[in-house]
Amino acid sequence: MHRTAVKQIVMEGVLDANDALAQANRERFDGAGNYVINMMSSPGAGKTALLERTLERMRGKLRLGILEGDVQTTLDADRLARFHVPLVQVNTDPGFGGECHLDANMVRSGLPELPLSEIDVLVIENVGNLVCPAEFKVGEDARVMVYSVTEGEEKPLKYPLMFRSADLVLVNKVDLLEHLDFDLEQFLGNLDAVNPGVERILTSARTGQGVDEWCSWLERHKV
Amino acid sequence: MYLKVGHLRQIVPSALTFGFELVAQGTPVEGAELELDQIPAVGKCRACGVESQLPGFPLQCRECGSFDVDIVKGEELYVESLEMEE
Repeated sequence: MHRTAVKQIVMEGVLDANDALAQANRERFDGAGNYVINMMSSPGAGKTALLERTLERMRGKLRLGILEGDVQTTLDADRLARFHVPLVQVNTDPGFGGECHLDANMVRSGLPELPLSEIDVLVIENVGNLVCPAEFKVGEDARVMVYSVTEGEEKPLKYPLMFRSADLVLVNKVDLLEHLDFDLEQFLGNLDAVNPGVERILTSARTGQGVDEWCSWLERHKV
Repeated sequence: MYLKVGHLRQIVPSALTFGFELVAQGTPVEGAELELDQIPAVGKCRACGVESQLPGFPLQCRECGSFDVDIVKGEELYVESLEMEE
């Protein structure tokens, strides 16, 4: 049998399926009047602790909702449950061995459990990871990175794409600065090298430093 | 399968090729080849307006040294074409 090779132009984005779902999520959020934050960090940078402080501070002022993403367990959701805000936990575990990031479809799967019309700001707490979450849009308005000073000054240079994609960086655990060799100026210089002039707030979930400023940022940005 | 991959995507070519071969196994496209065409990053400087190649991080204008650059190329990730036998 005679065979000929035929080349067909496709021009299809590898992440088109995700991006289309992210856009659908976004339209749903816009329709409900939600301002949506994709919160990203390494494991243990203090996302959940900062959210606890935020929920305390904003009680009665801003209607927050939380979508928690983790590979396994409901530990983070359990910590936040006492604030009685709309909250849903999405585990990435049913995926291929437990995925290291949230994608638009996982976020969509959690939405039916959230009363979106009663939420001003929805925080999507991504899986702790400085690489993959940067590649997957989930329908957010802004990306907020939590970075803790125990992680070293050089990480913006090692994980530039995530730092570059952030709209705001919360530099957390600053109460520990006096005990560390961490050079804050050098870190901020590295941050500006990959994302010039990106907004940043120094925070400590432990002492509450910077939490007011972060909460004002949220109030300014809500729809 | 011809794939265009920008340098600014977090794609590891050997890992992607390995995964592609694995998922193709046992399907009608077993043995299909993945051709990756890597696209270097190019940025347009917001300070001086010059476009230049960005060989690595930090992304810096080659002309004036500014870090304030808009990405023009390097974020691609798409299937450009398929070549099949009929």
